[in-house]
Amino acid sequence: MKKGIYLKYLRTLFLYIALITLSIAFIMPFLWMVTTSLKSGEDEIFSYPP
Amino acid sequence: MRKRSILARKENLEGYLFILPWIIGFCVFTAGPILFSVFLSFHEWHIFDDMKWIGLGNYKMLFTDPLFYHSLKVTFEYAIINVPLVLIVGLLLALLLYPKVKGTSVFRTIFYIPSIVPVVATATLWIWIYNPEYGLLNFFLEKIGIDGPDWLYSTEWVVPAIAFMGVWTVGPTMIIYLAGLEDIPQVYWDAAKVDGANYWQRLRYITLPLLSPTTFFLFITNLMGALQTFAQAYIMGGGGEGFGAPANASLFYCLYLYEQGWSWFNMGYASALSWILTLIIFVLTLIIFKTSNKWVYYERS
Amino acid sequence: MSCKKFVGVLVVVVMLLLSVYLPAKVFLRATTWDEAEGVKWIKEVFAKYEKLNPDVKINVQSVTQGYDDKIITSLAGGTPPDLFMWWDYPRLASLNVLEPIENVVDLSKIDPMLVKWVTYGGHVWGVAKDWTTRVIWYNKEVFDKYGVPYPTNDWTWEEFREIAKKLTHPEDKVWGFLVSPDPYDWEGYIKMNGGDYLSPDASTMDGYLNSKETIEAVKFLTNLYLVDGVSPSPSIISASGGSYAMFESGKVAMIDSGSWFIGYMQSRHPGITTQELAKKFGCVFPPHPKGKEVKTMLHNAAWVVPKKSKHKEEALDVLKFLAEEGGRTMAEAGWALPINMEIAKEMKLFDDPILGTFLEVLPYAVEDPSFLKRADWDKNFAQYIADAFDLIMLKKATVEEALNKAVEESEKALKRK
Repeated sequence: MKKGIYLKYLRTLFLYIALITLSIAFIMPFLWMVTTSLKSGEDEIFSYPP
Repeated sequence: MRKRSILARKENLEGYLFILPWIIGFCVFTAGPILFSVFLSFHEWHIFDDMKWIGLGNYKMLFTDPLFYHSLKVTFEYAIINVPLVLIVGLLLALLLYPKVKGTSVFRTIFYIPSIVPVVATATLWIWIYNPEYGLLNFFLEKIGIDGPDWLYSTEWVVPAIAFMGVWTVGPTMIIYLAGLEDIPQVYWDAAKVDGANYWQRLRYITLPLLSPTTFFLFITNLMGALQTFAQAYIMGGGGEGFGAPANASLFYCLYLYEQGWSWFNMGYASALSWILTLIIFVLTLIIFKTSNKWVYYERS
Repeated sequence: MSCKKFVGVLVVVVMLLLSVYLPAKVFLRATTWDEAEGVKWIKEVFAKYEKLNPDVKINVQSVTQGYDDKIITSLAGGTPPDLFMWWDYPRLASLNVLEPIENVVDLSKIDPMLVKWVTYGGHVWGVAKDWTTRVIWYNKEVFDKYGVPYPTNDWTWEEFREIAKKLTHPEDKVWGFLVSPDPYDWEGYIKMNGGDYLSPDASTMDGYLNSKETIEAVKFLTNLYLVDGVSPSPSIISASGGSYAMFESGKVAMIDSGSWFIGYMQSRHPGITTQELAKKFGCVFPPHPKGKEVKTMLHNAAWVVPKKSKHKEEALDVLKFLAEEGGRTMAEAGWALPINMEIAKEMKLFDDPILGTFLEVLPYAVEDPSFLKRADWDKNFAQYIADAFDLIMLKKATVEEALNKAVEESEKALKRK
């Protein structure tokens, strides 16, 4: 029985990890857009890494 | 009895009166132009000259037009990549969001937000993400040791790039899958669990078959949408060069149709092109319908 | 309806009719693609006409999005503006929707080259408003930084290439020249090498687009990017805000362009004069092959009058005035070059450090640009040339292969119709 609860927690944890990773992937373009729009000047915008 | 039928008739009439503005609008702005385009497709017409009846001339010309075949190829290449990808990702997200855990509504919102962004804004944003030198994507690819391609500037990658972007707007597909999942009675899963089926087995033998009507619906609607892709290609081709750039590699069917109509004024030919596309979509849908009894399961039957 | 109400309505109707008919004022609609600043100067010019002709009022409409489509649908619908800006005259003239003006307007004061560039099928279709020749702009700061002497009008292709190489410093993210393939923009280079796109009778590209001279010219231009690497890639250009932004900031030392860069700078630094501009930038003739004469392309937008104008006579009268006026108002405002060279001389524009080059190179403009030879130029020829240039720049084909393919496809397209 204890093992079952463990498994359940593990599963929920996995679920959250997956959801959060995917959320980041979906939100990343927005974040990038917002941060880019707040940068001034070309040198900052085209700095690499972004 | 008699009185009631008069009342019913009167109500009927009133009903039609109420929707009359819509009916007029539909006839003038939708049905009229549709019929007119059928008529046009049998003519040669360049807007300013007189219409010349040429029978099937436009349709015959299609078959000797290399750009017709090319644009069809481009469009199908897009659909073959985009449609399965969107369905798989949509299903995956729906499966992740289905379990009743805290915060699912937040995640739902996050996954749906990109879908409410206007396509022009999405396309413009992704031109930047795909930029080979300064873009976000190649930055991450470089991090994991991959030398990213030129994406929108490359003849090989421009169509896949536009197709991949479609995953970002997977929202509606995900929501419909989610609704489909909610419709499946919990007892099936419970019964399977008791029988000792693991998650994958339950997914394979219960969830997927019971979701097949949803998949069927989404497959058809997404395919129709994919074959009519216009705005993304118009904006993103060649990183903003548009009109099939680079070197016609992103000349989608609807772009070519638009070019024929509005760049070259071949209205008759453009109408013929649009009817051929309609026919292609119709035939494909028919084929999918015909084969559907092999893979779509309705609970009732 | 009560009697009072009826009288009231009657009075309003009569007043409306009076206001329309009594002053006998003619309202002309003029449509342009210009934006705020350009529209301001157009209005200034038209105000002068209205002063001389108090019974005419000209309303200026600015259409900045989908200009061509809007003009074309209005022409097809039979309700075009009375005057509008245009540049691709064969496209409309061949549809028989424009009014030829050579018998109405006195064109003798307009520079002959500017008249030639609005002529198609033996008729003149408009009065030039904005024109520019193509020159090489150079950023003096970049030249100074790398100790390269400024170019002169008599430079050759080889000298140009050497200078571009000297100015290219990938470690500083600086490139010598910005290569951007375009059939129209490159026609001058092809013609000055003795090549051409079309045969003299304009029937085919075979033997011209794929001739030795044309291939040589296209190789010269594309090799700047492919072999010498003196040009940034299209993706870098677009990510850097376009060619003007790169040129202004010194990321690119030279560009091939028209006078539009002046407008670009004026929009960023309001009130900047060409003298001030010349401190940082210079203009010279495009380079030419050794032993051959330079040629340049012209961009020539004009006011035209549609056949279906509701007030054709008045509209043509406005064109008469514009030809007479010679572009003086806009030249004095520093917005455009005059179309009458006497005015340019009078204003000493030939001595202007920037504008002088545009005026001096005008006599070297191509005499017979391809787009004025055929109404179907874009559809049956130019689009295949553009594809060929794309393929060459993407290294998908050699210059010979790509140009031969363009000829082949153009021939096929001509046969289909």
